[in-house]
Amino acid sequence: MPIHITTPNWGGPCLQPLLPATAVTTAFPDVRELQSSGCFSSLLFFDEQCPDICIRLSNYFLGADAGWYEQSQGDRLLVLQFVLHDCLHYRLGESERKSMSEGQFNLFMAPSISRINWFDPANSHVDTLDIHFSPIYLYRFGDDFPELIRWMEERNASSTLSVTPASVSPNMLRMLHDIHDCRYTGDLRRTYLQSKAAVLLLLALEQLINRPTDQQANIPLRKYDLEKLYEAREYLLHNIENPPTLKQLAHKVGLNEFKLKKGYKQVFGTTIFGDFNKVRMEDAKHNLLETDKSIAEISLLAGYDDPPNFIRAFKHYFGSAPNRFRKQQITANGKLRS
Amino acid sequence: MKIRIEAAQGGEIHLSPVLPSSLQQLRIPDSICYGAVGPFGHVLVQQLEGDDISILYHTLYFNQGEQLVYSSDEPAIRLQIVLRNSYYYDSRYFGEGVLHERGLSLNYVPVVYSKLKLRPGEVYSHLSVYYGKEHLLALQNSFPGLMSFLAKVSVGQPGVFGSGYTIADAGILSVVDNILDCNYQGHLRKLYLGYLSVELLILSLIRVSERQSSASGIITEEDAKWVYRAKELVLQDLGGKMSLGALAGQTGLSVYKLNHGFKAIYGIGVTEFLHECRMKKAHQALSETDGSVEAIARESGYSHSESFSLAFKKYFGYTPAFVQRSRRSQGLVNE
Repeated sequence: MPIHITTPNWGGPCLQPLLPATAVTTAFPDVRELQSSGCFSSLLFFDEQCPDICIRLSNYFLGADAGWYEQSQGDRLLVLQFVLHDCLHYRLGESERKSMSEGQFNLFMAPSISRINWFDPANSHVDTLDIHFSPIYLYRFGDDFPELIRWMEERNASSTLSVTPASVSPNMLRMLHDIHDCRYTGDLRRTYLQSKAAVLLLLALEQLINRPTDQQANIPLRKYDLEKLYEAREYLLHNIENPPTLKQLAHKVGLNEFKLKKGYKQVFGTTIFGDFNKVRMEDAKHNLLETDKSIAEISLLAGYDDPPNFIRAFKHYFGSAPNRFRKQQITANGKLRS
Repeated sequence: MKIRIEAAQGGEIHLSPVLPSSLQQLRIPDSICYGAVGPFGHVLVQQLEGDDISILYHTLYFNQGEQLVYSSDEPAIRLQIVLRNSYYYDSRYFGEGVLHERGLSLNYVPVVYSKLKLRPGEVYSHLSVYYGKEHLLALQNSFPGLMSFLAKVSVGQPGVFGSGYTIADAGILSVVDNILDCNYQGHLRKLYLGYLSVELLILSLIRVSERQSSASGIITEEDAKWVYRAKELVLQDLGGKMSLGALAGQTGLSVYKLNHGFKAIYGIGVTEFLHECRMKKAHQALSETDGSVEAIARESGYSHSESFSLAFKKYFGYTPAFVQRSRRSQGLVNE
């Protein structure tokens, strides 16, 4: 059964030998050597006796002090990464900061894991599903995807297969759920996940390679537009209590709605609602943990007239309902204090 | 796999690779097709090739009641899934039996030879996947029950994997849909179909190994006919609010019998079946048309799009809006 390991406190070391000793024999020397001093949890989902595929489910919870370091060794890393929750910010080697939002994926390559920096302070709570492949496994697809091989041959560069991430199709999402919810054990689990991962990889490659470069997706932004976008974000974050509608916001800063929406996503990697919701949810979390207010009150403060809607949104964002979340956190912290 | 079809009354039906125009619309793109149309009705056999795997999908329609002989000289390890109607067969090795809609069977025969009894004026369709022995050998460790089955295969003795009647579940049916909808070409197509067939095999082995209700598949021919009739009524009126009682009234079965009939054939009751059909239909509408969520919700029998969205999310794990978005981005690719 998949188990989420999350840290009860927001500091201190967690998960020192991150992966179990049984994983030591796998073909991914890089994956094992992770150590964390921040709030990060990773779950080795599947890799026993399977040299070609390794599936990991990662949860990133980073507070302000993202003291994170990795040690790595080994050949190189080839990982197909799907963002399951929120927006993942990362940096490849020395290149600029990029982001991938919920429902997007890309194939990453790096000489070692330290060349990909996934640990951006902006990743307050991100879930990803990562499927690591061995080079030999990917070479089998060479006849159908010569681009893949060409890309893999650039040995020392850290890069992604496609410049812009692709979005999962409903079919792929169903497979991700199947992998996530796999209830089998032993040999059957291996067989099942291998077959799912193979189909998923094929669909992913098809999307990443054969899709035309998404020029329509990116709109050209001038310096003026950029300034306006930053202004819009400022305005939004300062008026979270009384949020403007898209129309009002566009009017306020002087951009049209289309440019505001598209540009915002392009520049900040998340939608306007995404940002707004993030602040709202973090506030709600604060109220939940630091005050004795009832759920109904907190729900009102967060701008929801109807508590069930708030509870659903909260659950979607944090993974557990407000009441449970409160209890869990309080017992965890209580134990820490004693 | 070369299949021969003979009719008891009409003699051998000559399957031609040149499809008559009336069958063209039933064609799966890029498949190898053999078909025949005549005063008797029509037969269409479509073959999809994967790596070491071959998939046959056939559709039969006869104007008059007929007995068919379905045969091939080659041995076959095959997974059979009935997609439409009930197949009453008389196999050279396994004797008489029946596989209803969604019924599933994994078996080995040294030579394909079975007689099928077809009712007039009804459409039959069926998917069978022919595997190599190595596919099963690779899964032997995961499924201990396969050993005795494989032992039979190696000595050329006919055998069926598992005991009891098995009904395909939603996961299996969605893989079947993916196989029939495959729109890749060339080697990639073979690879993809090969992977999907292996996935189908694994899911089917799991399904067969699970214990199922003992009532599965047990229904008289007459009752089965009424269940299919009720199914048609349900499919025609997905947006309406048909009650179980009204449905029973129109088919002449009692509510109790109707529900049990659905459970015997589909493994689920009428209400659940209706819900499944609504969700699938809505998914299709969302991914193929430009209809709004509100309109599609109404067509699926929901008066509030919010409750429709929630039910949809619960069923598929993603929202209707996600399907629409993904259709739009797919649209950009196709242009």
